[in-house]
Parts: sequence; C-alpha cells; structure tokens
Amino acid sequence: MYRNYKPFINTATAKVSTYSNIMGGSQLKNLKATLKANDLTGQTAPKKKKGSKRQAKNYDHEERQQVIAKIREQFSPFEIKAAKSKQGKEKMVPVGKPGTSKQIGEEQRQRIFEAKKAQKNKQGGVVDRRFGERSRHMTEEEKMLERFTREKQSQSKSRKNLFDLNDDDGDDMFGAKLTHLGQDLEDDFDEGDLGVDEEDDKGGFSSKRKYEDSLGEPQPESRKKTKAEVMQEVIAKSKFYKQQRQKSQEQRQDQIEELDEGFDDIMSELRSSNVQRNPEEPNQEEKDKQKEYDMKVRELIMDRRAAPADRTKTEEEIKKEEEEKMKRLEQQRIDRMSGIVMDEDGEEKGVDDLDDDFWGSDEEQEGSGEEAIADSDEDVQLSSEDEGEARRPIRDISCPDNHKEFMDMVKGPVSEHPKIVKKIIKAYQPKLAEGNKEKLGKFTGIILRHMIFLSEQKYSGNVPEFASVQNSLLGILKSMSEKYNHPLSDTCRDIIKEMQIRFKEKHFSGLSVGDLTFFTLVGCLFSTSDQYHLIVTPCSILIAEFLEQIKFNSLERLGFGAVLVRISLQYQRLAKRYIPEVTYFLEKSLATFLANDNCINFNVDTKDLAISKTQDFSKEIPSTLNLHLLFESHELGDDLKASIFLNILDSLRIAVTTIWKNLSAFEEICVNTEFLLNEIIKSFPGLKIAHQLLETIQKLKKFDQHYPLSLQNHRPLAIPSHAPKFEENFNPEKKSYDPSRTRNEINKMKAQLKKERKFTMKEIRKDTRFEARQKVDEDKKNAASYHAKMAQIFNTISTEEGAEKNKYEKEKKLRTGKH
Amino acid sequence: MLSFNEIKSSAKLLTTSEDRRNYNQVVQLVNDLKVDDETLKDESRLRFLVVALLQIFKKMFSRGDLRSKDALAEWCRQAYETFKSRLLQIISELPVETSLGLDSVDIYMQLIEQESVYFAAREDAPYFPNNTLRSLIKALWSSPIRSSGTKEMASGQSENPLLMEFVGKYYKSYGDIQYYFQSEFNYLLEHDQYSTEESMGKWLATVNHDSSCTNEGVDLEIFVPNPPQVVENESKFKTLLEKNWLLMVHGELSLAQYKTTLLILHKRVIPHIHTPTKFMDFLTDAYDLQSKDVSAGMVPVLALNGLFELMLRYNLDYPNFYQKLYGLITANLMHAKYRARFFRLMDTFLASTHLSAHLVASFIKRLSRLTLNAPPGAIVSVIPFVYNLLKKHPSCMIMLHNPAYITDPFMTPEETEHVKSLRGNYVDPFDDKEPNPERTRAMESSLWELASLTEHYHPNVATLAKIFSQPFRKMNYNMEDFLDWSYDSLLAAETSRRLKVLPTLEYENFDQLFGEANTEGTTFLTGVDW
Repeated sequence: MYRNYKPFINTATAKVSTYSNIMGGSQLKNLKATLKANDLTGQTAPKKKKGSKRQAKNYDHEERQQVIAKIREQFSPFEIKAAKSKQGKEKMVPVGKPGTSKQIGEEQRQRIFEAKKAQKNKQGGVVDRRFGERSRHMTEEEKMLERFTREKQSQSKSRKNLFDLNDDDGDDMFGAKLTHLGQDLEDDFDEGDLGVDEEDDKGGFSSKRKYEDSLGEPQPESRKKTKAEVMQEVIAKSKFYKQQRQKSQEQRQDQIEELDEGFDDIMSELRSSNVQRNPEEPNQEEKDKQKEYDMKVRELIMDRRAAPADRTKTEEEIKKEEEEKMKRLEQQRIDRMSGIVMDEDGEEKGVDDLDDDFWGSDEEQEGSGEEAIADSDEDVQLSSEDEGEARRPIRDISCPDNHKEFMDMVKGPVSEHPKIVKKIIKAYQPKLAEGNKEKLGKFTGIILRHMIFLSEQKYSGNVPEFASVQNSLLGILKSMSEKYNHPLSDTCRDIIKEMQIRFKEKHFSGLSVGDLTFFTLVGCLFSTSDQYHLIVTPCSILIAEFLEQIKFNSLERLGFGAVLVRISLQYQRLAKRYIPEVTYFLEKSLATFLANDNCINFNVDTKDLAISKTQDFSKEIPSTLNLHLLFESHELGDDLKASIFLNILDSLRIAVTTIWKNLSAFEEICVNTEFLLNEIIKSFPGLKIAHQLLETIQKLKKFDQHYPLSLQNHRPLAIPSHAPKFEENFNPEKKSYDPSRTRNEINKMKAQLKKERKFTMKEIRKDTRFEARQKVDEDKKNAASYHAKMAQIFNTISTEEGAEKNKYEKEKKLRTGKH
Repeated sequence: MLSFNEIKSSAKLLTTSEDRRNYNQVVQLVNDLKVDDETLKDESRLRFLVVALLQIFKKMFSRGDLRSKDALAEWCRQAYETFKSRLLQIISELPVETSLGLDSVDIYMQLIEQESVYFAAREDAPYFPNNTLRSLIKALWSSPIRSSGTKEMASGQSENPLLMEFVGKYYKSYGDIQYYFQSEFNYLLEHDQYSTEESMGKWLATVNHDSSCTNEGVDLEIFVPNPPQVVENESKFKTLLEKNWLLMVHGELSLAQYKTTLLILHKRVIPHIHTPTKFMDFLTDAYDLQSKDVSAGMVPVLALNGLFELMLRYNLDYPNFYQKLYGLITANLMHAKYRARFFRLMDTFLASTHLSAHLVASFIKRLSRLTLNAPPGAIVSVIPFVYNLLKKHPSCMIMLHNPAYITDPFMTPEETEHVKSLRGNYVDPFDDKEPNPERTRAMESSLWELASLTEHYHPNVATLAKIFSQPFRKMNYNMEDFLDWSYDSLLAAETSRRLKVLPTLEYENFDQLFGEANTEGTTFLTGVDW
C-alpha cells in the first residue's frame, strides 16, 4: 500500500518545483517567498522553544503540517484540478484533487483485491451442517429426535446464560461478559467512565482514547499527555470512586435499619385484616345467586347491543327512493349505451346496490329464525311458495357438476324441476360450507343449460304448464345471475362458441329452438343496450350471421328467422341501433312470400313459399309464433305461413317505428320496403296491417327532414408553419431549447446513462489494469524469491564443494608432503 | 388368342431373322390386338403384344420393308396401318385408365418418330407425319376417360390421363410437336365439331402451362430427327394458336372454364398470340354471363379485369367499361364470397384521379346504399374504400358536407330563412335505377347511409363509420386491412377476449320469457310463444 503511494507523492512533489506557479516569477522563488511568509524557513522562533511547553509545541507542529500541505497544494499543478472561474479571467477555481482521488481509488482496489485473494479457493459451495444428514445408519425418526434434543439443549443453554430472569444461578443480569469488538468491556464499566459526574475535560478525553484503542486502530494523537498528567488523573479517579463507594454503603445501611423497624407494624396489620374476613362464611344459596348473576352478566356481554332501528319509511318515501334508484340505474344504462364505461368500482357498486334492497323489498322473503339466517346477505334469495319444505336444510341432495348429472336428478315431471333447483340452491348456500360458492356458480350455468334443454323437448302436450316452469326457472336464474355473474357469463360464452361451431359444420340443421331460447335468455339477463357487451355483442353478431347466411327456403327456416328478428329488435329496444341484416331478412322474407317476378332483386332463396292469392286475411289470424309448432310445421302449412307472414310484418312495424325512423337514411332504408308493401297490397288488398304500415312510413317520411349532410363542419385546421423560430437571448451553453418536457427528460436521462456507462467502463479498465499490475508484481516477487533460493543452494553447494576441495587439497598436500 | 409364349416366340423370330416367310405372323399378331372386356382381363399380355409389335415394326422400318414400292411393302404397310388404327382404337375407346392406354400413346409417338425418318420423300429429307399426329389428336379428343376428381370440376380442365401423358411427355417438351399439334388441331377445328365443353376442357389441359415454345426462356427440343423448317416459324405458330384459342372460346364453355380461361388469359394466352384485342368478344360474353346466370359470381368481374388489361396494355377501345363495372355492383355482391376480390379489382379500376367526379360519386353512392343491408364484413370494406375515393376526389366531399345547408347563430334572419327553405324543398335527385354512372346525379345527393352506420349494432363498425364526421387527416387507408373480415373473424375476436370486467346485468325484471303483450306481468319477448 505504501509502496505505491510514496513514489507517487514524491514525483508529484518533484514536479511542483519544476513547474511555474500561476502567480508568475520563478517557481523556486515563489516557494521560498511563501515559506518565508509562513515562517517556515530558517530558524523558526527559537525563543519560543525555551518558554513553551511540549503541549504547545505539539500544537504548533500540527498547524505547521497543515500550512505546509496547503502550500504544497498551491504549488503543485497536479495536486489540484482547477477550472477557470467564470467571473474572473485569471482566477482558477479548484474542482478536484486528482492525485488524492487516484490514491484513494488505488487503496480501495488494493483492499478489494486482497479480500478477493484471501477468499480465493475458500468460498462457494455449501457445507451441510445439519445433523445426521449424511449418515446412512440413522433412520429418519432418529435423526429428527436427535435434532430436536440438540435444539432444545442449545436453547436451554442460551437461556441459562443470558437474560433469563427466572434463573437463580446468576443474580446479575450482566453476569456474562459483554464485549465490544471482542474486547471486554468490564474494565471500562468498572471505572465508571460514563462521564456523568465528571466535569473534568481530561477524564472524557482518556475515555475516548480507550475506546479508540479498543478499535485496534492506532490513530494519530493530536496531543500527547505528559506522564504527570496521567498519574494525576489516576489518583483523582481512585479517590473519587472510593468516596462513592463509601456513600452508597452508608445509604444501604440506613435502608436496612429502616425496614427492620417497620417490619412489626406491617405484620400486625396483616393479621388483623385476616381476622375480619374469616367470619363471612358464604352459604350455598348466595353462591348460586352469584353464579347466576355472573352468567347473566356474561350473557349480556355476549348479547348484541341494541341499535337504533331505521325509522319506518312512509310509502311515499319508499316510492321516491325506488324511483331514484331506477333513475340512477337508467342513467348508468344510458352511459354504457353511449360507451362511457364505468370503472370497476362504480360497476361493482351498481351490482351491490341491486342485491341490497332491490331484492330485499320482496315481501315474500319475510322468513323467521333459521330461514332468516339462511337467507342472510351472502346468498341468493328465492321466492319460494313451498316454505315448509324449504325451511329444513336439506342434506340429502348433491349439487350437480354438469348438466348430465342434473338430468339424472330430475327424472320426475317437468313441473317438479323448479322445486328441485330451489332445493339444491338452499342446500348449497355459500356460508354453509366452503366451496359451495363455486358449486352454485357452476349450477347457475346448469340451470341455463337446462332451460335450453327443456325448450328442445317435445312439450306441445302441455304448453301452459311448461311455460310456467320455464318462467319460474327464469326467475331463479335471474336472481342467481347477480351473485354468479362470472360463471354464468362463462357458460354463455361457451354456448356461443358451441353454437358457432355447430352452424359452421351443419348450417341450419345444426340449430334448434334451444338457440332461440338462449338468445332470449341473454336478452333477459344482460343489459342489451350497452355499446359493447361481452355476451350481448357476440350474440348480436351470431344472430346477424344467421339472418344473413341461412338459406331461407323452408317455412321452418323463415319462422326461425322471424323469431331471430324479434329477439334482435328486442335487444335494440333502448339503444335503437341499426342492424342491416334485419333489414336484409325482412325484405328477403317478404319477397319470398310474394314470389313475385318484380322481386327478383331480393335474392330470394326459393319460390315455393308464396302465399296463395286466395289467402283470406280478413279473419283473425294470430301473428304470434309458437316455438313448438315452428319445427313441426308439416301439418299446418298455410296457417303457419300466414302467421309467420303477419309476424314478420309486425316486426317490420317495430323496426320502422322504433329504430329506422331515427336514422338519417330512413328514406333510403324504406325504398325497398315501400316497394314490397305496395306489392303486398296489390296481391292482398284485404291486409290491413300492410296499409297501416305504408301509411306510417309515408307519414314518418313527411316529418323527416331530409337534406344534405354537413358532417365536416369542423373548425378550420391551422396549416402547420415551419418558419424558423428566432430565439432571443440565445445561450450556447444551454443544452437544448426543446419545448417538449418529456423529450428533455429523456435526453437528460440518456446523457446520464452515457456518462455512467463511460465512467463504469473506465473503472473496469482501471481495475483490470490494477490487477494485471498486481499479478506482474507477484510474479516478479515469486521469481526473485526463486532465484534467491537457487542462489543460496548454489552457494551452499559451492561452499561445501570448496571446503571439500580444500580438504582434499590439504590431504593431497599432506600425502605428497609425506612422500 | 395367342398365348404369352407364342407372342414371344413369333416376335423373336420376326426381329432376329430376315426371313420374309415369317411375315404372315405379323398379321396374326396385329389381328390378335383386340381390345374388349375379355382380352382386357389379361392386360399385361396386351401390353407385351403392343411392345412386341413396336419392336417388330421398328425392325421392319430399319430393313426398309415399309418404304419400297413392291407388293410386299404394300402388304407390310397395310399391316402397319392396321396396327396404328388398333392403337388409336385403344386410345379412343378405353373407358378406364389403364397402363395399356398410356403405353399405346407412347408407342404411337415412337411410330411417329419412325415414320418421320422412313416415310420421308427421300433419305434425310425433312418430314413430319402430320396426318398420323392428327389421328392421334382425334383419338385423344374422343377418349372417354373422365376423372371424378373435384379439381376437374373446379377448373373445368380435363384430367384425362392419356392426354396428360401426351401433354406432359411430348407436347410440353418438343417444339415440333407443339407446332404440328396446333396446325393439325386447327385443321380439325375447321372441319369438325369440337366446340363442346369437354373438348374445351381438353384444350385447356393442353395449353394451360408455361412451356409453350413462344415462351421466353423456354428452350424446347425437337422430337423428330429432321423436321421441316416451318416449325421454327414463331409467327405462324402464334397465328395458329390464336385461331385455335378464338375458335375454342367461342364454343361452349362451362362457368369453371370461363373462370380458368380468364385467370390464365393475360399470363398464358395473350403473350403467345398476335392480337389480344380479338379476345374482346369473349370477354364481353363472359361479362354478359351475369345477366343470364345469377351464379356467374366472379366471372363478369374477371372478364372486366381482362378487358381492363387489354385497355391498359393494348389500347383496346372499350366503351362503357365503367358503366359495366357500375352494373356489377349489386346487392348480391355484398353477400357474395368473392366480395374481397371484387374490391381489390375495383380499387385498381378506380385508382385513376382522372375519372370524372360524377362517376366516382355514383360509385360511392351506390356502395353506401348497399351497406344498408350488408353484413359487417362488407360494410367494413366499403367505409375505407369510400374514404379513399373521397380523398382522391375531393369534389365528391360535397356528398358528406354541403355547406349550403348549415345554419349558424350569426346568420341574418333572411339567410336563416333561405337555408330553411332550401332544407324544406330539398328532394334527393339520385336515381338508383340509372345504369350510366355519369347520369345518376349522385353528386347532388348525400351519404345519409354512411352517416346512419354510426348507429350500427357492432361497436367497431359504428366507430369506423365515425371517420366521416371527423377531419380527413389520414392520407388513405390500406384496403388490405379491411377486406377479409367475416362473421367468423368478428366472432373469433370476441371469443378471444378475456373476461376482465363482469358483463353488466339487466336490472329490469321479466316475469315471462315469451308471451302475448296483453297478458299480465312483464314479458320479455312478445309475438313469440312457447
């Protein structure tokens, strides 16, 4: 460390003398002058030395060192990195000390390098110190037992040692030695150098020194104490402590005496109180009473505290609240319709609102006791006529996992289905067992699938009963949908996917009444007016696809289309969005029924479905379509045809009066329709509804303001100008005049990143260079030691050889001498 | 019927020794070559017989037995002719695909090669046996083999295996065969009835490839060793090909054949003929198919494409092109499968900025009128298309924005009154029945249809339609992004969406799903009952 440091400083100081100072004149001269000015050359104040003490001299020495360092800095152009100050031209402002910083860096590197070297080949790898982990002779149990005992032992050991208040062995909490950095603190403590009552400066000083000694790092003492001083201190201290001890001894003695005196008094008092209590022998009755009292108190504590009940609202208030809620819901609906999507909180709140009191107001729900608990806020409430049965929790019913399982459960007549469904829901309320929530969620989907399934069955025998079953199932599904929206939506999405695949593979033959039921149910359950809706939008697309792609060449298909149009129009009853496919279907179907030569443009799929000219429309023909008849249309061809025709006309009326009339292209949309209506009237003059419809259209057209659009009535756009901008007070030092804040930030960040990167690269290079240097040094050292060793060996050998040779020579001489 | 071994021995005898006394066996062998159900059972024998006969006649050719003028040569030639006619019979009558048929074609072609050498006027004189080839063409054309593959149905191109063998092995690779084929086929066309759909299918099979001798970069070989000079004459070949093409396309064509022809027209036909404009009649016919056949589908469009190419490259003066194009835009187009292709073509037809604004306005108006009962896929392609047209023809912007009808609060009462009366008296002058797009007066109309689409049920379509009420800042839309939308892709986009926010529920309560409106309780859907 110092080997590196010293030469560097030497060269730096050498350079100081060779380079000229900023102040002008010769460097040497300047140096001399400065030294003289600071009284550093020649005999510095020889008189002072005699009179002053060592202490003062030491102080002087320190100051002197500082002054010299300052001068050194001043004279070395490399010690200080200077920058020209902006104010004065001549003045230099120091900004850094490259030498020192380099030295620091070097030292740091050295430290890291040494640490690395010390740890080389010693670190990494995990030593498994768990007991018995490697041993094969121990069973798992034995190992565990052994570990447990060891752990216990070690714990008890540590407890015994320290901080164990119950321990009797060492009454001193600090019985164990406290250390600091491995050095015993006891000496310090005994000396009592807390420094509380020692105003003396010297005492504090000495303690500080002791502390610093304990760090094990010799620090340069700014001022040395004389021996006399030290001795004085020690004497003063010992005296002080002695006094202290005596004082405390006295105090203790006093206290003991005091306690001895008061002991008798206390004892007598205690005895008297005991005598008083004894005669009150509690009899059994009172004990019981107390017990009872206690229990009452307990009960009262456990009892819920009475809370002020809500004021009974008047009917008007209830009505008003209801209205307000409806208004709010309506507003939310309108927002969604125009695409303003509420944040999740808002929406969730809406749903919460729904089941807070929207359902709570149901008067049928006034159950008692168990029922009330069972129907508490966590689950869905059902309107149940069969209260008696539902009151008992039903345990012997399982929650079906899929529709097939459910089908196995409902083997009885259809009218029983809602009851069974209700039973299942009651039995699996979420708060009754964990996992019930998921089960009921799944079950919601099953109810939906079951409704679709039922509608596909043959039920023509008993339509009203069937309808009531479906409606009550709808009621259940509707109330379930609030809690189990997510699983229900998932099921809907699955059904949509299935339907799409079915249609792709088998076209119309893949569809059934169940699909119509599904679309209707979606309309019932979900808000169809939203601008975008995860369930309704795909449904709308699917309906439109069916209307556009099915070849309507049979009565069955036309009926299917007619119902689809109904559903689709019902979806749009509030949002009033335009569906081109509905228009397409209406025109096509009407043209199909006409089968007129004039209707060739309407892309009619068949000409066999024309309504015969003899059809009498004067009598009442129901325009309502019966789903169960739609797919069994073989028997009553003509009647069904007529009612489908009327139904489609009715749909057209709905479309015209609710949706089309609001569109700016109303006239254009009606062009074909009017033509068809005229044809219809020509063919069937007795058809009243066609006349009415035509009149309505014409009336609406009259009131519709139809004039050219002006959609582009925007504020005129400014032409972007690219004239150069003149910057007043332009400053080249300013990095950028970019007005964009973010871009500025980004550029700044980029610059910083570049700088950091550069710096890091530099550091890395320095490190590697340093390491290389270290390595070279080490190699040199190794080589030198090797050579030295070899030289020594050679030396010894040659010495030995020489000695032997001398001996030999001597011997030889001796022998020859003898001769 | 000779047995396998008998054939073998007599063939060996005939080919090895020059003894003319054995020649009677040739007649025996040739007569044995009879094809009927019975003999076909042993097809390998027949095949062997045919090959043996080829070897025998080859030998006889090399011996000069067929060339000299003596009685024996006469007799030999007769036997040879019988052999040829037997081969042709096999080719023209075999009802199913057999190896024998294919062998026969190959052997017949080898005979042609032999003939060209030995039947030349003198030795080394250039000669091509064109009559022999003509017989082969005749036989091939009357071959009844049909493949049941759907490919043939779709393209209208014959997949007769014998013809494929001939085309693949000989027609495609030899220049002289191509020349003589065309010249002989031309002869046949002029003298016989070849205007059936089947014949057209075979014709297409013959020429629908890229190795015609007039193709650049195609270097064909010569089949016969010394053909006449005329096969080098490219111009004559072109004339013949052109004649054949025109004769063929004026015959009977199925829809698929129309389509195939139109598809290959400007790659495989027009470069090989002299005057492409002669195809105008054919193209017009193809275009007119629309009025005859509703299922014509893409054919009129392709025909227009062909006409457009001719106009663009060969200066064809074709009147009423745009009127015809306008006529193709019908309600059916919006629901048809080939809609995307039509839009791509229409994009090129209407790309010019020099078209009259009235014409463009008519196209815009008609397209937007048709969106009123179009599926979303079609609407999605119409909207950017119209946008691009409007951007290219800013004078049509008046259909979206007519400043004369704007009121603003700073107007004087008279002005307000004026605008009011303008609005009140406005009658849409657009005539959607007018076939001429220059005269529809679409310019004076307005695009209410597109404005109404902002109320479309599909949120994305509605949003897209809103571009017409926003400033026209975008240069143009890339049509390719909008052309291929269908219900399937729309639904796929929906189903792939993740259920992040729960779908909102209906807060209204319905007592009944279906039912009459006047029954008690609220009903969701009236007019339908269980």
